Amino acid sequence: MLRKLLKYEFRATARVMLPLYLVVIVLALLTRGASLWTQQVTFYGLGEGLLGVLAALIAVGFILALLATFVVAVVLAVVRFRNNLLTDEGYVMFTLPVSPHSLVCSKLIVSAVWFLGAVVIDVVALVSLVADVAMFQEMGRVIQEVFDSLTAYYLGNGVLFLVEVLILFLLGCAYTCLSFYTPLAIGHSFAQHKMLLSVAFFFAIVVAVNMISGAAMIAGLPFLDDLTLWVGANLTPAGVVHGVLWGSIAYTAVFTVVLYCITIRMLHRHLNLE
Amino acid sequence: MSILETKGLVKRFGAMTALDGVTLSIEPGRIVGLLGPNGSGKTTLIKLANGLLVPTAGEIWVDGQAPGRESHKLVSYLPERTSLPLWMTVKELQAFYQDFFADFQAERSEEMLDRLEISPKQRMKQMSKGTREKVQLILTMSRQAKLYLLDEPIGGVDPAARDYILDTIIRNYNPEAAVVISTHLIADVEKVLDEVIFIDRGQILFQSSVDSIREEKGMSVDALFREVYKC
Repeated sequence: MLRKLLKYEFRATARVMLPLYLVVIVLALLTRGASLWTQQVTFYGLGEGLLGVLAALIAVGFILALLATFVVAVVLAVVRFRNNLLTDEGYVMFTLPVSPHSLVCSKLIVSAVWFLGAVVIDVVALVSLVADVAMFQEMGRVIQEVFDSLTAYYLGNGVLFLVEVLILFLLGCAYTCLSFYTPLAIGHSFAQHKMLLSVAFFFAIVVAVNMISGAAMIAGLPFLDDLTLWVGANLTPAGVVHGVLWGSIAYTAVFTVVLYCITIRMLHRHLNLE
Repeated sequence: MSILETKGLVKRFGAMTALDGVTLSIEPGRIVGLLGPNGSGKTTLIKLANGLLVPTAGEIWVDGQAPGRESHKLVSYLPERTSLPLWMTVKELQAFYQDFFADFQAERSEEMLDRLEISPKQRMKQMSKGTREKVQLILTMSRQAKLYLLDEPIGGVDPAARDYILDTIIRNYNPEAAVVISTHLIADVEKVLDEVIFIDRGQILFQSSVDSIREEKGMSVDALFREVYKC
């Protein structure tokens, strides 16, 4: 059933995200074209006033579109969660033969895919601004070199390094979504002032996460010297990087799991559709 | 075995008690009217049967199991509010129901859509409120479910549409299934009911067959409703 939920979630969100990605690519090409055009026009001495303004406007639009891929992905994740599960559509979604886990996971997975898509599209768009054949040849060589040196330096751990970064990225996406889902689920369990309470719980959760993180850091301070000595004696620089990455993964995973459990609990036991 | 059964069912929202010790049983093959004034607990009971709410106390079973993922396969639910995604076309909604409900009969839904002259290509957001309600009813009644829970199915539609909705319910009647219709518009639904449950302030006043009300009390269900709930 998760597969079916994913299918409909992709359909519902692709209507927004795919056109946005297309806008980014088109604006990237226009920015590139405008840049080349203004260079040529200036070169022939035909003036750059109006064309320069136009090129600048396209460039500003392009930068805004780059940012929009992430902003819209977050907003869409939040709006879809609320509209699809906590308002009228919830009557349909929560009476499907699926579990609340599947409902929430489908939204997390689809959101993560759009976040990842935003990274890919933005990189492609930025590369297309300056790309030519020589650059691609050079880029291929550089990527190969970087990967070779990573693999050599980390004694075969280059792939693991990339996997760790990907896990951290996906967990970060899930945490970002859940930091909105959880307060929405709590706020909408009340009979009135659902959105107001959701906002209040959002800030309450942010404060709680910061306090717990701060308390954990303070509690760990007395062990910092010992830890530094242990790291210096036992870990290679590569090991330190892996350690930091796994530490970040564990830290993000703890908060992600806690928020996920609260969200599921609220949807399962305290759902209160209007 | 009862298709819907409750025992000492209680639901509280803070200090407010919506259901207070409800015990009832609904058998297959019956069309049952869940009747009561606004705020009597009808919607709360239906939400509990759908697993949209969790009881404060007591128990509720749908075909012998607690409401949840498995019972959703057996229950076809028409909520009080239009709840279908507005961005989808009718055809997409048919595919959606077919994907999630093994008992969904596409031919039956196409037949009903055709009769009401609703285009499958139309998006929900392009439709009037009444048409959306009809689409939702068509999708609900196109399932071969064991229990139909219809919450105010005729509440927001014109009299002509009411007749069509009630006609749809009767035409799709399955002797092995039970239909529960929650409403306070008694006169309109009376003709299709086998049984009624009167509910008030979260308590069951009585459960009886329509025939015995007419025979023993010598009045229609509508007349009895007016007498029982007289202000």
